[in-house]
Amino acid sequence: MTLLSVQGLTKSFGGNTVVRGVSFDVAAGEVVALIGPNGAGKTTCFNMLNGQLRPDAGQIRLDGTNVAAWSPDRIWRLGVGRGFQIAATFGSMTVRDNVRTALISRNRAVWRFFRPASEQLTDQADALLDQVGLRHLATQGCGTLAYGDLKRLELALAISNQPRLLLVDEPTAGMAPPERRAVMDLLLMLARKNSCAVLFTEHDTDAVFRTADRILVMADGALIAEGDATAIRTNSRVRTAYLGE
Amino acid sequence: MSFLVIQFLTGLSSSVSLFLTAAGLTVIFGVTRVVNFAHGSLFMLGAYIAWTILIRLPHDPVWFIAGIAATALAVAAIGAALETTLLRRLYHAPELFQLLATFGVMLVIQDATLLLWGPNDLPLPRAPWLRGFVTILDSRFPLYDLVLIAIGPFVLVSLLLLLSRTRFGMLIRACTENRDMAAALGIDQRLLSTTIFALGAGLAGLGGALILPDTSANTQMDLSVIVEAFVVVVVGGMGSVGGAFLASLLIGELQAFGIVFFPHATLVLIFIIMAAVLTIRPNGLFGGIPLTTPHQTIRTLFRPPSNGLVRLGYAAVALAATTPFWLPPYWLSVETEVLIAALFASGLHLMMGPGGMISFGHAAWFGIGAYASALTLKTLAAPMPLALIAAPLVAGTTAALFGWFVVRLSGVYLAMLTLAFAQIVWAVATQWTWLTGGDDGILGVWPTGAVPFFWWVLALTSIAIWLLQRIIRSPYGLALMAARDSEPRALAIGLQPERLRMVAFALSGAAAGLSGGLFAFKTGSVFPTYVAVGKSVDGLLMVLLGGIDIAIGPIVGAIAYTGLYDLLLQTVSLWRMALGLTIITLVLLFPDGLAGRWRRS
Repeated sequence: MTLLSVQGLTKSFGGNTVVRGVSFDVAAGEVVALIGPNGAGKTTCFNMLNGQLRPDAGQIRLDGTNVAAWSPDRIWRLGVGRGFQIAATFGSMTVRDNVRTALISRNRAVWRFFRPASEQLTDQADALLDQVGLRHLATQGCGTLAYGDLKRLELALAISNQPRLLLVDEPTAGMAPPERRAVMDLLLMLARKNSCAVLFTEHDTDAVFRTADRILVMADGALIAEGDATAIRTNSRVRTAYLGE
Repeated sequence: MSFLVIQFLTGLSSSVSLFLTAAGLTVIFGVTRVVNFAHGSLFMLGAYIAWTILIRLPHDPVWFIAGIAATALAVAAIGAALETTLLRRLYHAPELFQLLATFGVMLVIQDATLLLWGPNDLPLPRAPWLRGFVTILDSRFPLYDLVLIAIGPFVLVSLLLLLSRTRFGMLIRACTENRDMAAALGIDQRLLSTTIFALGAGLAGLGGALILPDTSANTQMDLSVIVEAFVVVVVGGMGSVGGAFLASLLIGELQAFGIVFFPHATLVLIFIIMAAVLTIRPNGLFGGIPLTTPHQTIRTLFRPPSNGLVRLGYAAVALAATTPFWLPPYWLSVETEVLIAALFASGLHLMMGPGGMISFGHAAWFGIGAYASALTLKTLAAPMPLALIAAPLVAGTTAALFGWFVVRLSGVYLAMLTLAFAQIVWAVATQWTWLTGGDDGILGVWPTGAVPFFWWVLALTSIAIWLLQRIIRSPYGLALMAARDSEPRALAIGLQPERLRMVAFALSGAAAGLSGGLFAFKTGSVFPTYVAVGKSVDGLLMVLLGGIDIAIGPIVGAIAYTGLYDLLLQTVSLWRMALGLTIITLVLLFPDGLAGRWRRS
């Protein structure tokens, strides 16, 4: 069953077309990698998918609804979680309050001005932290976390809405190899447990070939190949894009 | 027809010194990323120094030009001195502290000017050649103004050539694009920053000097000019010299024709134009430097007060309720002032702390509240409680409207716009005499009823501050902080940062409004000074003294500041200078605020 269907997605900045006519599908529960050299337009695609950028043209159908140019909060409500290239968390809060904020948003409890937030959703927040293995750091300030833990926290935020689709931009960037593997495995485990589709970008090809059900390759703003690990490995256009052969 | 032409030319000539000043502001910002609040003071110094020089020189054009040039050089030197002694230390400090430090400089220069040149306006006697005129379409137009009109494009072209054709200009553009990369390529930032600051200051000095044949040098110039220069720079686009030129033309013409068609609404008109431009092009006409919102900055953990502290607070309120029985009247009056100040600061803190928005014009809401109260009482003959309800309502609603279009802007733009808006409210307060009584104010705003006024103040401020404290800790407060900490993340978890900030803006305005209303009844009157910049600075200093990242900060700050202020006012005649120096010292020594300091130790 198709969960996400992207058609003819296009975006330019000034005269520079960064994404040109990109079309692809993601099925429910599928793990799809979006790879490509730096500057291929992957992050721009992601930013359009979750509404942080408005596409110039094209459709983004989520379960049939065209969400192109919707605001991020509406897209999020349809069940799309997002992880950023550089972990984006709330630096002045404790780890628990980070997750609590996401849960407050999920429960549509943002516009409550009276009861202290600290009395709300603590158990759910801790349960979420359990899932990413951060429970023991719940009361720590987010600014003091190691980068790997920040990435885990970000994952907790991204899945707080029980999403059907996770968009994760370079989940393991800036990490040492053992930590990379742990975060990647965690991501997949969470996705499987919540039967959630994952679309991720990644430069670590080992991780991509090991984990992705299907791989999309972008170069210079366009989608140039699509298929499983073996197909991509032997695709001549991909080799040209990456190796300049 | 000839009238329109003359009016058009007048607009052109009056835009020139504004352009020079704004161009200086914008190039300084481009390279150093510091918004120089003291830029209007440099303009003012230009006018005073030029007066001092020109009054001693022979009255002929050559000496006049020499005097003007000498003035520009002198102000450039002052700018260079300012950069090397103070600003250089602050390039890596938070934006807010840079703004504050230059604000302090503005206060110091204000008193220094008063000390050196006295309080009276200083007109430059017009030399015969300056009195010449040309005839255009049967109307007389001053020759000097015609010369001014030519100077604007000349300076514009010189600046653009300097930026695009010279090695120095290339370095400036490199630093404007990317400071860090420029530094990595071995560009001496210190020298460049000093030079550019001197250049910007020199331009401001030139602007001040050139205005002298038309306007007397006076001590109010600094503020009026900085507000206009801010508007120009924001409308034109930060960092863009061409944008500054176009925007100053626009403002100049708007004033020239506004005076004719809407004599009492010129300032309001300018504000509406600015609002329109920013709504369509948030980075100004010429794009300018897109200012990123200050997300991803490392912040200290926000700590709510401990239970013990909360209990102490309740005890303090209970104790305060008994003070009318035993405290001498003078100290009771001070206590009332502290309470009103604490509410003002608490409201501002919600916006600046959890909201992450800097306001340099919070006096606007304080003043609107005060006037709303006084007018409800006077014109509607309403009882005091109703007048006190009107204050936060009117101020909060206005703040919500203003907030609606400024919350999409980031740090510096927002700070500048809040100041501009406050100055417009101030202008309304002084000019719309039929409504506000002008400088005479509204008198006889005395509290009525059997309950002593102090208890009203205590009850209302305590409840309002208690509510604000609840709000900071509420789900909304958490979401507001989230939007401040990381906007992309906040959006990605379904929050609406702009809406969250707008509500904070409105709440903050309502709190300031209530405190303004209370203050009106406390003093029995309302004056335009309630909306003056000094009031905004008071609020800022209270919040910063107490510390931004601490919930009880504004309360501690209000007590400390009111004490300090009373002390300074009683002991020092040059209180602005003392205040300015205090600000500069505090910014350099305690970037975390007093409460933050105390918490850490």
